[in-house]
Amino acid sequence: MHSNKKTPKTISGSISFNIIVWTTSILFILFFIVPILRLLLYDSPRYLLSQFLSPVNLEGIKITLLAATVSTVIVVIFGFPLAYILARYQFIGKKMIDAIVELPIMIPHTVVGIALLLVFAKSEPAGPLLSRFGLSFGYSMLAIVMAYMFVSGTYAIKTMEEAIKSVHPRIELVARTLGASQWQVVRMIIIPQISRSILTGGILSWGRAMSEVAAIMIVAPYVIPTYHQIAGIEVYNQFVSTGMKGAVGLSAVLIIISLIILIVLKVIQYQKIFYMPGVER
Amino acid sequence: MIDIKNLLLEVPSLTINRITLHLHDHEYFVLLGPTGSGKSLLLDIIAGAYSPESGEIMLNGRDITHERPECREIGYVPQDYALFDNMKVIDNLTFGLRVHGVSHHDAYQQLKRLIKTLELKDLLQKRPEVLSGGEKRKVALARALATSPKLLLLDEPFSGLDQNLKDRFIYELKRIHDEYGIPTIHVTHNRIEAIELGDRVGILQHGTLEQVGKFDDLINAPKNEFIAKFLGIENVVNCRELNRYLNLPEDTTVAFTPEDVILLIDKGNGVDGIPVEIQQVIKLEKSLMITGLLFENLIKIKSNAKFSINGDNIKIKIKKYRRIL
Repeated sequence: MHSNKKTPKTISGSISFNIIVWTTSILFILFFIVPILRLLLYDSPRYLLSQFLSPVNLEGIKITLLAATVSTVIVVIFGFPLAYILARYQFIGKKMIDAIVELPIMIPHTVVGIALLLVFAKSEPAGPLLSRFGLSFGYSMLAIVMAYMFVSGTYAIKTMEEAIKSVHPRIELVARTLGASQWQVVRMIIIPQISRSILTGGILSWGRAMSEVAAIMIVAPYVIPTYHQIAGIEVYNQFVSTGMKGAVGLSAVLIIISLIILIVLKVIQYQKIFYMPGVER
Repeated sequence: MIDIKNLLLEVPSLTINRITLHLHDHEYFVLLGPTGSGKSLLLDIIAGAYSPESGEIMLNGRDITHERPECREIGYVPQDYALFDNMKVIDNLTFGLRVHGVSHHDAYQQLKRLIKTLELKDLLQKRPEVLSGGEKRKVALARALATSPKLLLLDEPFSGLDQNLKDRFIYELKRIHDEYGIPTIHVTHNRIEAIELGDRVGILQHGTLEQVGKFDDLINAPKNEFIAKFLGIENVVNCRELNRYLNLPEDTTVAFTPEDVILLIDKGNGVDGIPVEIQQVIKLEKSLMITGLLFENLIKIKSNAKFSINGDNIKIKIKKYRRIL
């Protein structure tokens, strides 16, 4: 239902303040948008379409989207308990755990790739374990998903942590005095109340995963046995082999796809459907 | 029946200091204390948010000291209502029954009487965010009553309500307590609520339960200066000269309200009263509020507005006073 109420006008500030604030903001927006527009308008739409439909590019986009989506689902589901612990419990070493969660943002992502290889490659500690399940790490989709999880998990966990903190612990206490178990409280109250933040964290993680290239160059520059590559590496290859024109096509396609998905998710995020009741009737 | 014995819990800013309290069946107990005295923390311990370091809580003969909150059968209405914003009012009300496996329809049927008693029918399909403060309070109370708890905890249930709404709510709370008979602990800093509702009253200060009794008993024999002042007895004086006037032992502390003081009229031939040096006179609608020095102790005196004050000194008589134990 739309409200007829108008947003009241705020009291106007000083002119110099407004000029500086607006000019700086506009410059920043231009800084973001001009290179993207330049890239999108570099060639004709027909050329972009042909690039999109090229089997190699299509496969690269598919791998990237699939791995980013799978890694996002995993970090949201498995990150929730960690976010809950960080939001609700006080314990020795909490600050250390908090720092570890934020560490992946700081590490150069080529280093992330090397670190993951040092744990999961065939000859490394966790390699035999993966082999026992018929999995291998290097040059696999598994490696891409895990690298994405490593570089993007922080965003989902931190967003959910802040959201859980915003639900007062007394709400949980009251729910429990009414007879709800901790599981029921999480399922019926916490998750519905922070659903938007879960989606926001997911979007941030997904976006971060989509943009990752460096770590993937180390762990899975291509996927065996298809020899397909994630879109980001494909762009680099095309830039190196055919120059600007080759790279621009796939880059533009990637931007358009990311933009469409981001807009769709943002629209869903602000819909009432995310205002779920605690229990279905 | 609830028995709390020697409850002890230390948190960074406060200690709940070996509190012992016994509540009878159907009793309405008001716990009075200033902000930061530990009232809400005590309720949190009873509700199961914290495990005490020592002591025990027995509810109808069952030891619930370290039980999980969901097993305690206690209804809790916190100061901020803690309504579940993701649910409509009806879903808030039926929540407690639904988590026990009752269907939504059956839960609604069971709660019809409660919904009628608290006049909640028109609110059922609304979201908590659109309710007024009074409505939120009623929903939170109904939600706590819905599971038929063995003990009800109310944390400052009237804070933030205007006087009209407060009066109505006090009446409703009395009616509900009479109807459901659930023993209740109501914490507040407002002594009027204690007078209106409390079968007995306890005074909490710095996590210590200072005194427990009927309100009239407390006000007639407050244990210490803090309690006297907190119960509204503004003048607390320990003064040898005053005690001589009142024929009391030298080190007695006496407490009296501004209304307990009578101004004596000097018709020229002098009166035998206790001298007070006037510091300030404020004209109220129907009376005067005089602040004066009684042997260097600042006291307040309330007097009939028709009384005219001449000069800086008056004589008074204290018609009623309490000796602090």
